[in-house]
Amino acid sequence: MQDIEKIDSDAQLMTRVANKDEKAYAELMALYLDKTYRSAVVMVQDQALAEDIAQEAFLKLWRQAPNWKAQAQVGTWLYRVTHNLCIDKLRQSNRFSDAEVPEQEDPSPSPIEQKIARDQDNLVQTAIAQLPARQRMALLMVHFEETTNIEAARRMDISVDALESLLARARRKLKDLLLSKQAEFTGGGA
Amino acid sequence: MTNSKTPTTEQYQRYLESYGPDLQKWPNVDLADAANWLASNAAAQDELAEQTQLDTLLFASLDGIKAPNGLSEKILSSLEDEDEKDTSTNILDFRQPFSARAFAPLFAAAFVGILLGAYLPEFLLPDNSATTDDIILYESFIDWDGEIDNG
Repeated sequence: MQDIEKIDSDAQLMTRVANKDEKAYAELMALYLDKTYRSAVVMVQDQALAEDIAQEAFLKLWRQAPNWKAQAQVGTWLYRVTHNLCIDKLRQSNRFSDAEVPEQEDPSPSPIEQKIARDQDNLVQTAIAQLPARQRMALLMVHFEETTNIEAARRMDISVDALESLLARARRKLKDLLLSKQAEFTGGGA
Repeated sequence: MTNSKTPTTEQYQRYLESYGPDLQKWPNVDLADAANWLASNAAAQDELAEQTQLDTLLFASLDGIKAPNGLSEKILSSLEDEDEKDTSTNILDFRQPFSARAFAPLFAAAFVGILLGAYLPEFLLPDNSATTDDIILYESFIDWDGEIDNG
C-alpha cells in the first residue's frame, strides 16, 4: 500500500517535472539525490565520478519525465540507471571484476590520519572499498536498495546461485575486516 | 511464495551467510520455519549475532554518506544547458520539414524542365529536322571556302 502511494506521489511530481517545474525536480532531488550518490560512490569508490554519475542519472530523469508512467517509484528507476552507469564506468576502466582489491598501503599516517582511521564509519567504508566491484554491487543492491535477488542477478547478468555466492563472500570478508576491529574499537568487545 | 520443500540446514546456512539476518530477504522460505531453525541451532544463533552486528555497522556507516554540498545546484544549473539543447533540436526539427516543403515545387519544376528538355524537341521538330544540320554544315562550308578564296 505504501509503495502504491509512493508511486502515485512520485508520478505527480514527474508530471510537474514534465512541465519543466524545477521546484518539483528539486523535491525529487531532496528525496533521492543522497541515495543515488551513495549507490554510485559505494560502487565506483570515487567521489568525483560518483558526482558525475548522480548528475547524469538525474538529467536522464528530467528527460524521462514526459514519458513517465506511474508503474514504479522514481527511486527504483534511479537505482537502475545508476547501476547501469556505474557498470559502464567500471567496465571502461576494467574494474568490473571479481578480482580482489589489494590492501591499501598506509605510508606513515599522520596523527590526524590515525585518528580518522579509528573512526568507525571510515573503517566500514574502507572495508567496503576493499571488496571486488561485483561483490560491492551485489551487496548494495540486495541489502541497501531492496532489489530482489532475481532482479539483482538479472541486472548483473549472473545466476541467483552466483549472486548468493558473491553476497556470502562479501559478507564474510566484511565480517573478517570489521568485527575484530569493532571489538578493538569498543574496547575489547562485548 | 514458499517452496513446497523445506530448505535443508545447508540451504538455511547459505541464506544466513548470503542475505544476512533479515529473514524477509531470504528467498522462498516460510518465515516461521526459518525462525524455528534459527532458534533450535546454536551455531546458527552465533552466526546470526555476528551478521546482525555487521548489518548494524554497515547501515550506520552507509546512512552517513550524503551527496556533496552544491551537487543539487550543479544539477539544476545543468538543466539550462539541457533546455538550450532541446530548443536547438526543436528548431532543427522544424526547419527540416519546412525547407523540404518550401523547395518541393522548385524541385518538381526542375524535374519537369529536364524531362521537357530531353523529349520535347522530338515532338516539336519535324522528322526532316536533320536537314537543318546539313544546311548549317553546308553554309558553313561555303563561308569557310569563301574565306579561303578571299585570302
